[in-house]
Amino acid sequence: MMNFTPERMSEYLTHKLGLAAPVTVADIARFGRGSSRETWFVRYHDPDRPSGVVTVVFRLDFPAGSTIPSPLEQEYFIYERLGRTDVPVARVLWWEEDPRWVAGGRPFYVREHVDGTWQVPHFHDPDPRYDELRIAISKEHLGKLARVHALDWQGLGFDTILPAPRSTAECAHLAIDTIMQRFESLRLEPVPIMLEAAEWLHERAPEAPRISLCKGTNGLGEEIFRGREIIAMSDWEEASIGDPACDIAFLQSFIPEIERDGRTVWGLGKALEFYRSVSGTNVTVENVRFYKILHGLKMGEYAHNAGVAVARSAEAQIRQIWTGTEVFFFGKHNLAAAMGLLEPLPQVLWAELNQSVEELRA
Amino acid sequence: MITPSAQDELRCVLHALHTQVAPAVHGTDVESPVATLTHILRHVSRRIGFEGQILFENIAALRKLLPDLCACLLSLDGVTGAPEQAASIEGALAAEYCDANTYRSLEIMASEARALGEALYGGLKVLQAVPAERRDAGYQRMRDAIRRCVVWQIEQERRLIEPAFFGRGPRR
Repeated sequence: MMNFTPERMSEYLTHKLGLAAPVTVADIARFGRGSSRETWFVRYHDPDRPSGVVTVVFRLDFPAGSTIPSPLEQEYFIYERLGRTDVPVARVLWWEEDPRWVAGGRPFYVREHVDGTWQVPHFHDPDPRYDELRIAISKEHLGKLARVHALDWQGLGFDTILPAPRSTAECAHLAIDTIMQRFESLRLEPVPIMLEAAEWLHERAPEAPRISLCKGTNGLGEEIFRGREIIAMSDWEEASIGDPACDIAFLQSFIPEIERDGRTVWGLGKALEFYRSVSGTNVTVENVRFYKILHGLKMGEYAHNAGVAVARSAEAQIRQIWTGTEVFFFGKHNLAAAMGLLEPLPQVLWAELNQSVEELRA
Repeated sequence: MITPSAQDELRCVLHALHTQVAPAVHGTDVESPVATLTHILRHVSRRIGFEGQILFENIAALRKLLPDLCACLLSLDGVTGAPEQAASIEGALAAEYCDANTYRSLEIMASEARALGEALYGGLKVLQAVPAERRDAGYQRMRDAIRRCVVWQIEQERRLIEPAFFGRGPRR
């Protein structure tokens, strides 16, 4: 394991940057919020830039493995390729797997730090004077998603690392099969609702309006803002190639339902209209609904992966215990409810599940 | 027996976490894992109290369902994997998970429930591959019975999850 002490980091950066004088490390901090992978912020004085303190980000798997069952190399590849496009992302700097610096089988990569915040002040404030802010943020995010969806994923080589559907009719089927194959390869216990739901979803698989690179997890908490502008899109570990409706379905919080005087000011319908106006792609409510249900299958996959990490290693993160238990339960329950086998869990429970201590304080 | 019991100990640990540790920690990096820890300890306590009975009932339900699934699979002439899966089910039902002189610990019961559950899971996979024209009333009855069992299992899991987490605040 890379030892994140100032001394070791100074040694490493001096070597990596090919400097004669040792790098002075100002600060090393672990990002406490990240739940998918280990993230460290390292601030150092660059002797070549006397005026500048440089901040870089180290990303690596947790000691017991990542919660999301996609390899770190894939995340690195995605950031590197997106760096060649107009999609705002942090620039990747290098990949490290030299055994002198990587012990315990945990390679890492380093990317530039983007100075901004994932928080959007007043976004959850129900006061009508913040409606304009909420809608502006929603449009900004949909516009950035449209950029992702318009990328030439073949030209950029994304199909060399992600499963790619051969047709718009195959998108949903491939999404289901990809999740189930990964689930089967990792599972430690029988979870028959996953089989039932996969079959149910196959029977209802919609055709996609186009084939796009999709971000996966997106929305509040996953993008970096400066003011009202998204200056970096983060958390690409669940990226896939398929129906852009998938991203609208997985979107967190940024399509608020706003009603004033019995009139819908903003919501999914209006958001899809806006998305169509900027992308030219007609994503339907039906496709979004389908991928919301498919999200339960995905939840089952990554939540069980977290549980497997706990079962295999005492070094697993405490948050992986929660993901492997309560989150897994929510995924299973959600699938059964979508199939009409159980009553859905109340929205208030979903809201509570997604709330962090940080958000509660804000 | 040791007094206090494991449940008593956990209850005290949780109380100390709430009243002494949580108020003393500041900053998301620490508050977040403390919040998670509190939920998990409550969940562990719940599992100690109820998981044994739930596993016991789950094993009984699977032992009731699996012979029917076995018979259903054996009736499916020419369906790939059906005879092999029927044999797997018979094996899982016949296996000894614990001898008569050994206490049936949670681990032993979990291992039995998992083996029987795998037999069900494998059987369901075979049933899902049955072509539409072979899906008669008997097939549908079997599928319905499996779904009822699956739903029941999720409801039982809720007994372990709900009191530990629901309405108890941020998890992270």
